[in-house]
Amino acid sequence: MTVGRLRTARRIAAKDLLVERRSRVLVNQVLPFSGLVMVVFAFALGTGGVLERSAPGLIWLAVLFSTLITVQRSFAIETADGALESLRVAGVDPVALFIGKAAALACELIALITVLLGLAVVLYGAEPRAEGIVLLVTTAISATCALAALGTIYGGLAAGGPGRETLLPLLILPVAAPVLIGATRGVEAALGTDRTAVSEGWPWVGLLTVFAVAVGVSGALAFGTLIED
Amino acid sequence: MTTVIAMRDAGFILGAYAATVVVIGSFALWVLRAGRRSGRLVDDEEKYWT
Amino acid sequence: MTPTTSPQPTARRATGTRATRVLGIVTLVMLGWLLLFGLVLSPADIDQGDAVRIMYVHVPTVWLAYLAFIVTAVCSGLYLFGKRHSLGFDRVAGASAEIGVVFMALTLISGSLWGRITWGVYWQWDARLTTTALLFVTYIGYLAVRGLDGTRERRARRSAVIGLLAVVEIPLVHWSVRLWRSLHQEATILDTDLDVDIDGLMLFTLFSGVIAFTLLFVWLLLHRTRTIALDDLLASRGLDRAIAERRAEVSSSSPSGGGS
Repeated sequence: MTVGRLRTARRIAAKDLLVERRSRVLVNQVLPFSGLVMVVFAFALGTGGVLERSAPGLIWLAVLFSTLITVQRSFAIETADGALESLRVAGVDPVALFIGKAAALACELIALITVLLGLAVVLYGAEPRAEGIVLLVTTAISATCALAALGTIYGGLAAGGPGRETLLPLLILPVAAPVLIGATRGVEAALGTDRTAVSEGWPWVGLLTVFAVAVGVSGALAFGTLIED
Repeated sequence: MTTVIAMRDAGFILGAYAATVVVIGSFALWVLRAGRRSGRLVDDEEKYWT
Repeated sequence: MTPTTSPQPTARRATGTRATRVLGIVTLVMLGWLLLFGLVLSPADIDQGDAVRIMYVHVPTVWLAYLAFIVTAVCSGLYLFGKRHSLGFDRVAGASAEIGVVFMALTLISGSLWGRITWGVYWQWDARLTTTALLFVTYIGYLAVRGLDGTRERRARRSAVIGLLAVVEIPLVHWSVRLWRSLHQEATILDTDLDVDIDGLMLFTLFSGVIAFTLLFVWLLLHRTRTIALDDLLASRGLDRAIAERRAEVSSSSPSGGGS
């Protein structure tokens, strides 16, 4: 991992985050959407018992759906005016490109999950407990890194072109299953849902981390081939 | 060697075999037909199996 | 070869050859054999009763589905990392995935019918079933990627990456689901592990099934790969023709006859 590569990655991440800061798509569209999803879950599942017990899963479902939209957005800005093409042709290292975009995506998702966790406390009565905070944070970080890596790989594939955007959910959801399973179990343990002990959550964090690393490495290696012409 | 299949379960068992035959049969037919259709449009010299 | 002015052009051949015809007949015989033994001649199981008969179809389809996906992954790797990036590998990969999806669908159908008899439910959220269902959807996604527009090389590259990623992801999916279900005590009441005390005739029937389906797989693979090769040829031919037509337009519209 050369310094130059990391620097390029940082620049690309900064660029993506700058675009977000200027356009505020995440704040103005994705965030309200995910909030709405959380509300709509309540309509479907009813209040009380079911909602509180399902809270961890519902949070991550909302994150997952929002990831799909955010990824679409992340790559839409690349295909508009052929930005990705230009980067590729200019000889930007695809590994750096991957890391940069994935990092920006991860930052956006972390912001998202933080807000959604807050919403869950309010809407679903999910009370975080002191002994579970570390688990909660590590679960959130490892899960969002995994999702960011997944989103960047499949986003790179599904970006641009007619009839491709609808492919993204079909490609990501089966592969995101371990993330959904692991993240939900981790948050359940952190919150104490169904009397789960905090200690039961750590194997899941392990799984999420392995997943994030495996997908991250594969993605970095494959990204060049994926966006190639 | 019993050849009597319980009435209740017979439906599911025969259903499984029927599904297998139907699915494989239709897929095989489709494969052959698609091959025939494409084969008609290309000269034999360009087919690597002839 | 026959001159183009020949009055009676010979009918063009389809994807069959003498070898595939022989293979096809042998396959049909083996499948009929399987039907006979599976449904009639083999005995019922001591525990499962006649439900075991579904296994003679279910087990081969699941083995062949996995074999098909392994073939796809191997060919994807051979295409991507091979020096010549031979499109032949890509075609085999694609054909194999198509067949794998069909076999996997059959696995899910026969499996749920078996489950209905043995467990009383069509479906269970255990590691094996869940991973199978996810695998099924994953390869449908692979086929969707192959259907995207673009050059053959782009299609080959994209699907090769997706095919290899799937192979990396499937173990991870399986472990996570297994860990999940093992921590959930409720699900293990119904034992999903096949504990069949295999009698000789049953084993023979099972083997016949595996052989029959393997032959079927090879037969299907040969035909599909050849058809994909034909379609690729037609697509590039169509492209060449379109380019030639455009050139003809340009040169006929410019009075000096210049241009390309």
